[in-house]
Amino acid sequence: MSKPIKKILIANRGEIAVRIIRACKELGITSVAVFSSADRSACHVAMADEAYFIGEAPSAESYLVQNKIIETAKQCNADAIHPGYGFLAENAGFARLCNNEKIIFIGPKAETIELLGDKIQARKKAIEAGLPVLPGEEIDVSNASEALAKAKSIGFPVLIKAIAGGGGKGMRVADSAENFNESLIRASSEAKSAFGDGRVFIEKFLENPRHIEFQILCDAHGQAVHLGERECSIQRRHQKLIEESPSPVMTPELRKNMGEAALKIARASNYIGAGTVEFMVDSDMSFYFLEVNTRLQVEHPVTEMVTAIDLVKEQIAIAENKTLSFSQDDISCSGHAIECRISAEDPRQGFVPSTGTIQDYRMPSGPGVRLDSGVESGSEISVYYDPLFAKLIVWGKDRSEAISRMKRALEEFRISGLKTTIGFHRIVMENENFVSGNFSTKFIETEYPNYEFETADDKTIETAAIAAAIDRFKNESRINLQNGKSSRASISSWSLYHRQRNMKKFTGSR
Amino acid sequence: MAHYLVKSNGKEFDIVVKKSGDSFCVVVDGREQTVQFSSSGKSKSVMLVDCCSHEISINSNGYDNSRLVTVGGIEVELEIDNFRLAQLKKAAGNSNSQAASKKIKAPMPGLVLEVKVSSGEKVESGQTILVIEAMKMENAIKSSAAVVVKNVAVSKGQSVEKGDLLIEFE
Repeated sequence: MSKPIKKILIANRGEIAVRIIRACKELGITSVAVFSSADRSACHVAMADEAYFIGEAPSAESYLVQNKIIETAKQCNADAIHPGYGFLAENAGFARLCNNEKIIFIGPKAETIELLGDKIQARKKAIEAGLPVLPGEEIDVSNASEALAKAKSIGFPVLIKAIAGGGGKGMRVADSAENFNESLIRASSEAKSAFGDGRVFIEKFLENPRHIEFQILCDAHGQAVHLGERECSIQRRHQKLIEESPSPVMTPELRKNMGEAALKIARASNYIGAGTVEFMVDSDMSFYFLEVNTRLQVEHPVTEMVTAIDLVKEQIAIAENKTLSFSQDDISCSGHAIECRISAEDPRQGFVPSTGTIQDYRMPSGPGVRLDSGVESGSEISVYYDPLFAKLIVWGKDRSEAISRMKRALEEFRISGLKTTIGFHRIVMENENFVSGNFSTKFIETEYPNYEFETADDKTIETAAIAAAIDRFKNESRINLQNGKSSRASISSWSLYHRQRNMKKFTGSR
Repeated sequence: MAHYLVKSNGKEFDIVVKKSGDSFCVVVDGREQTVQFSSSGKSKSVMLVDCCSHEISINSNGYDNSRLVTVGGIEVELEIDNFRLAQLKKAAGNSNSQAASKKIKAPMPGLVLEVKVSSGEKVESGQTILVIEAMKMENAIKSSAAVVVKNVAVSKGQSVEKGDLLIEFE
């Protein structure tokens, strides 16, 4: 029996909250936003049908306060809660709390989240289901000699990973026995502070792998399909920057094998909802299970663009206990989609976050362009939340058209007031190895080892110089007019020189 | 007419600007070009250089000579000076541009996780000076030149606001 959802509380903010509100509006479902004191005038609050204040700016005092969110959902009579990604999206305790309170949690069941959130359990489940995994083992951080022996038996380099991990935290590569112990301690302490769980495991580290993941959809009636792959190899610090679908190296046969593997683990873990099965693919095209993300992914739009399936609407339909309206054979992918993550970061400073107020904000548009954005001009990018504030997605009939379209859209995109990753993406779209599809997760560190992203060519610098000269000429002419003087030439160079020096004293040199 | 010296990224441009009806006659390193420049809004303009179109925005602070110019969304940092003044400064051995980088300020608000240098210490270009945590990420602040540390203004565990002084060099 399906039960229609009439009202959804979105326990998130920014672009993903906006994305979910859009789906609600198209479905005629009432959308409810929640907000912290930093987000009173945010886009998601303005767009939702209802909005409720839930606490102070730090997420631990607002977007992560489970009881407050549940209380708000009950107060406004929401049938369901959509957690988006991040915050409470993969929190089994929160899913259970929703269930106890008779509120539908839009996501997998609490037991599934718990099982797949534990890297060791998920790995065991994958092995049981017959998925290929990399050699690896759980290790006891307090027993250094045993840990080292295990690492040696796997063979260096090894990757040390937090069992409760995610998002690149608590992850370290040890390339030899010498640096193994130190990496182990640092990974464990990072895991402890990020997830409250210092347990780690080690896995064989592939030198030049690709990161390829499969989108899955499973209803509560035993139907499960995959929607093809997403290539997510362009990363830094294990965080994705550019995603595309299909992968430039995918073959129909490999897609079939990987897709089937993805559905095997989904079935083995009684998966219900939308999810992502991540794999590492070695240079010889053998693939290994990595993990399952039990949520809507940041990069879900590239799948939506090539399959024409709205993943948020499907999530809601599954949560309403409906059966999937299509089978594996009905799914066809057409064309090519690319997503660039637009973050408030300075790529040239090693991608440090940049905070501030967005002044100009001109969004790209035109054929084949989609922008999922959670900000507008005047929005404040604060230190409290993730620096990702928009995603630029393009569709083209093939990869080459998609790249040209992405270049064009990035050129149109204007943001001033803070540093963004737009310039970085423009450079990557011109990179030979990116264009030819020849890259791995090492792309950034091999192509741009010192983050030297040269954006301005000689012609651009000259044009900027001309603009600066004309701008100054116009300002000086205006000042001269105000002073009743006809020409700057009447002021001696020496007096100008001293005037400038004095001004510097007032303003302080920069 | 005005004569400027513009410096950016190690390059120098000798630029003469003259008003010519509604447009400008600009001579760059001896090459003459016709430029139309029309502003829309506070800092946005469209500039046509011999009819080649460029979208421009310029951010400046009064008499300060540094400018951040964006050309079609690409940022260019440069310094502009009156040509004769630039010559005088050169003759006087004045090096204002170097004086500007004697301080490192916090590029973002955050928490100082590590201070890796102490006063009197020599640091190399590219060396990590301190680590700031912001938005749950650790960010290494590096030296842009080989210098000697004069004063460390912050300590481990301290919260800083954007623009706070972190380190001064000799």
